Amino acid sequence: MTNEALTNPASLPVENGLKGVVSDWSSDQRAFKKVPWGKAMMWVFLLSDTFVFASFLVSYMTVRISTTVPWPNVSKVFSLTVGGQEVPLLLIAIMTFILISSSGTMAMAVKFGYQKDRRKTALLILATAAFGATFVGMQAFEWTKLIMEGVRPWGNPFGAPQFGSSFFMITGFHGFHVSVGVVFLLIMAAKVWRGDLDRETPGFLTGRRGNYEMVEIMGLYWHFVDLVWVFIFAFFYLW
Amino acid sequence: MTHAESHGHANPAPAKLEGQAHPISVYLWIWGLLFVLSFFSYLVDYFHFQGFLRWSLILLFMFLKAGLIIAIFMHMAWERLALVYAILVPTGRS
Amino acid sequence: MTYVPIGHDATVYAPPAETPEPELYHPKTFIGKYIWSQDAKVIAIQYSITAIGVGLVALVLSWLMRLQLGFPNTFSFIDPSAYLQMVSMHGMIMVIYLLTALFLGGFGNYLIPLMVGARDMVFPYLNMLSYWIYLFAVLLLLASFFVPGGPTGAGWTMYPPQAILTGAPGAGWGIILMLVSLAFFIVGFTMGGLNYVVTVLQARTRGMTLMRMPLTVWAIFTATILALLAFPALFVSAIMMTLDLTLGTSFFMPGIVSQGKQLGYGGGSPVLFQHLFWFFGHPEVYIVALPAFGIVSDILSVNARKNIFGYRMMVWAIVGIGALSFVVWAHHMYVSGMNPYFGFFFATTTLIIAIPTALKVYNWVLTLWQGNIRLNVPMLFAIGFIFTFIHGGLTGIFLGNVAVDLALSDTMFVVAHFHMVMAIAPVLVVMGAIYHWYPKMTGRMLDDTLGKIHFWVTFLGSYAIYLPMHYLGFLGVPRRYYAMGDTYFVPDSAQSLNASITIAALVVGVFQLLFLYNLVWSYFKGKPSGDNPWEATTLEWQTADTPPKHGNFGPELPVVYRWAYDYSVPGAAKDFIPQNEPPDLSAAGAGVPRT
Repeated sequence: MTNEALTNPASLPVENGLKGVVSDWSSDQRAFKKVPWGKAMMWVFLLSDTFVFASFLVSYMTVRISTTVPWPNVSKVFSLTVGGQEVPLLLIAIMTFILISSSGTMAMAVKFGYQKDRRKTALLILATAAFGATFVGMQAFEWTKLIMEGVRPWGNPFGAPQFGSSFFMITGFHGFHVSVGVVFLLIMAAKVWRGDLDRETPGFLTGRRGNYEMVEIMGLYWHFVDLVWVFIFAFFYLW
Repeated sequence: MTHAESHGHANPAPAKLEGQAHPISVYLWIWGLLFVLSFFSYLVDYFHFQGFLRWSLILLFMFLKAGLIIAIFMHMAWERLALVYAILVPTGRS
Repeated sequence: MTYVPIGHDATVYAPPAETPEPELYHPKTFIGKYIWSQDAKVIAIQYSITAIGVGLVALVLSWLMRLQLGFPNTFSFIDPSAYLQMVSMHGMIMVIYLLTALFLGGFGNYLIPLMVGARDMVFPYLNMLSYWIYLFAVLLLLASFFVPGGPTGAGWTMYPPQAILTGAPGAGWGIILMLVSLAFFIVGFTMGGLNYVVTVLQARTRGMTLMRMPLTVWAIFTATILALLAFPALFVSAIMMTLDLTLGTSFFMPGIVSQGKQLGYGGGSPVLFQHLFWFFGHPEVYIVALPAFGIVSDILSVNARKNIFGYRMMVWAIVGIGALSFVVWAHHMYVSGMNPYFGFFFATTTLIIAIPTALKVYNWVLTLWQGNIRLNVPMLFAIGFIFTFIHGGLTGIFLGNVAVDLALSDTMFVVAHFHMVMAIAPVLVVMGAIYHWYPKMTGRMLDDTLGKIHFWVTFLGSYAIYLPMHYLGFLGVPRRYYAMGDTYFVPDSAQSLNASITIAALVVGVFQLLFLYNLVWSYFKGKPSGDNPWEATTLEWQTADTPPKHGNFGPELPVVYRWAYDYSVPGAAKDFIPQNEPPDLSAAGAGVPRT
C-alpha cells in the first residue's frame, strides 16, 4: 500500500483560515508552519518587550495623573525656533519621519534579501542603520537642548517634575533599543556584504548557519522599535 | 546520517525563501501612507485641537500607523493565522 | 522513511524540525563541556545547583528568623534591622532565585528537550548566556550581605516609600543591589524563557502533537509564558525605583516628611508600584505553582500505573489558570484603600481561579482511585503535595474575600497560607521530582530509606510549623514583627506556640541536610538505575544512554505514536507502553496504511 502523504508531506492540502489555526496547533513538530526558530523567538521576545513598554507608558500616565503640579505644555517645550518663528514639535516630527523611513528601507532590505540580491540588501540595511543613527543623534540633540534649558530627571522649570523623569526614562529606553538595533544592523550589513548568508557561514558566537531569514528577523526587531515610537509619539508628545 | 543528507534536512531554504515576496510598490505605498498619517497626527498638535477631539484623533492615527507597520512591514498580514492569533491575543489582553 | 501516520500526522507539511548531528556544537574541552556548556542538560544542572545553593542561604535565614520569634531576647546578634533584612532576603531568594530558577531553569532545561524529543534547546548559546546572567544576578544579590548597611529590609515586596527612605535597613546599597540584581535576573530569564517557549512550539519530534505532551511540559511551557509577560512589570518597576533612589525622580514617591524634614520628592504614586509589583507578583505565584502541578501529575500517573484522569481538562486547567492569573493581582492590595468595586471584581476573579484548580485536585485524586499504587519516595512527595496544596488553597479562599482579608491581612495567617500553598507544596514537588529524575540525571537511584525518613519529617514537620501559625494569625499576631511585645489581645500562650514552631522548623531544616547527603552519597554509591527504573512512558526514559549524551537521543530522533499516559492498557503485554512504541499493526482493526 502506498500513500503519497508519507513520502511527500508537501503533497498534503494545507488548511487555511480558522481550520488552519486548528490544524496548525494540533499538528506535530511545529505550531507555526514554515516559521523558522529565530523568527518565532523574535515574535515572542517582541511580545514580552511590548509589555515592558506598555508598563512604562502606563506608569507615565499614572504619575501624570497623580502629580499635583500642572503638566508642562509639551508642544511648547519641544518647539524649535525657525526663522524667528516658533514651530511646535518640529524636531519630534522630523525624528518620526526619519524612523518611518528607516522602517521603509528595512522592509525593502528584507524583500531583496529573499531575492538573494546581496548588494541591494546590504546597501538598504546600511541605509536603515544610517537613519537609525541619525535618529539617535537627533535624540541626543534634543536631550542636550532640554538639559540646557534646565530639565532634569528630578525637576524642570516648566511644570511637574515627573515630566522630566518620564521623558528621560522612556526616550532613553527607546533610544537604547534603537542603538542596539543600529549595532546589530551594522553587523548584519557586514554579514550580507561578505556573503555569509549565501555561503551559510556559521556565526562567530552562536555557530548558527547564516541565511536570509536573519534579515527578516532583524527587520522584525527594527519595525518594532518604530512601532514603539508611534506609541511614544502619541502618548508622550501629543497627548 | 551523512553530512549531505543532514544538510538537506537542516536547510529547506529554497522552499522557504518563496515566502514574503511582495512587489516593492507595496512597501513604498505603505511608507507614503505612514508619512501622511504622521503628518496628520502632527497637524493635530499644530492646529491645537483640544479635548476629546484631540485624543480620539491621536488614538485613531496611532492605531492606523501601528496596524500598517505590523500588518505590512512585519508581514503579519501574510502570516498563518496560528501565528497571528498567538501574538495578538496576549497583546490585546494587556 | 517508515513511519505510521496516525492522528494529526495527516497535516504534516513541515520539514523535520531537528538540528542534525553535525550542526550540534560538540564541546571538546572540559571547560566547554561542564563550564561554558551549551547543552541544556548541563545548563539545567548548573541552574539547579546554583538555585539550591542560594536557597540554602535563605533556609539559614529562616532559621534565624524563627529563633528570634520563638525565643525573643535570647539572641543578641539579631536586632530589629537584621530581622527585617532576613525576612526580605528570605522571601525574595525563595520565590525568585530558588523556585523560579529551579523549576524553569532547572527542570525546564532538563526536561523540555528530552520530553518533546528535541536534540537540545533551539538556541543553545542564548541558553548558556541565560545561566551566566542568572549567576551574576545571584552574586549581586549575595553581595548585598557584605555592603555597608547590609541587604535591604524593606520586605520582599519592597513597597515604596518605606523601601526608599533612610529609615529602612539597607536603604543605601542593599536596595539598589536588590533592584539591579532583579533586573539582571529578568534579562537572563528572558533569554532562557524564549528558548523554552520556542522549543515547545517549534522543535517537537515527529508525532509529538501538543496534546500528546506530558503535563510537565505543558505546565512549564505555560509558566514560562506567564513569566515572559509578567516579569516586564517587575523590570519596569525596578528601573523606576532605582531612578527614584539614585536620581531623585518621584515616580513612586509622594511629598513626604521624613525625620522632621521635607524631602525633595513629590507627586509620585506609591500605589502604582503596588499595582506593577503585583501584576508581576500574582502570575509569579503560578510561575512557581504550575510546574509543580505538571510534575505532580506525571509522578502520580507513573506510580499509580494509571493514565492521568482527564488529560485534556488538565491541560485546559493549566492554560485557564495561567490566563486568569493576570486578572487577579489586586487581591494582594485589598488594604491599599482601593475602590470597593475593584475589590468586588478582583475577589470574583480570584474565586473563579478556584474552579480550574479544584478540577486539577479532583483529577489527581481520581488518578489515584483504584490505581496500582507504588508508594515509593517520589509518590510520597506527590501525595504530600496534594495535602498541603488543598490546605493552602482552602485558606486562599478565606483571603480572596475582601471582608475576611481585611481582618486577616498582615497577620501570621497570611504567612501560613502562602507558605502552605507556594512554599511547602512546590518544595515537596521539587523534592519528589529530584527523587524521580535523579536516576536519569546520574544513572543511580537515591537511597530509599533516607528518602522515606526525609519525606515523613518534611511533611509532618511542615504541618507542625504551619498549622499553629494559622491559629496565631487568628489571634492577631502580625507578620514581619520583630517581637510581639505586650498586647491585650494576644495571650501569653501564643509565645509557647511560637517556640514550638521554631523547634519544628529547626528539625525540618536539619533533615534537609540528610537529603543533601543522600544526593552526594548516591552519586557515588547509589544503586545503578538502568534506563527506565520507574517503567515510565515518556520520552526521557527511552534514551539510549543514561544519563543522556549531548544530542539526547541516538542518531535518530524518536517518533511518537501515542500520548504520554498509556499505563495498564487492557490487552497490552506490559503495564506501560512508551510513547515511541509503534502500534501493533498485526492486531485486528489496525487499518493504518504503511509504506
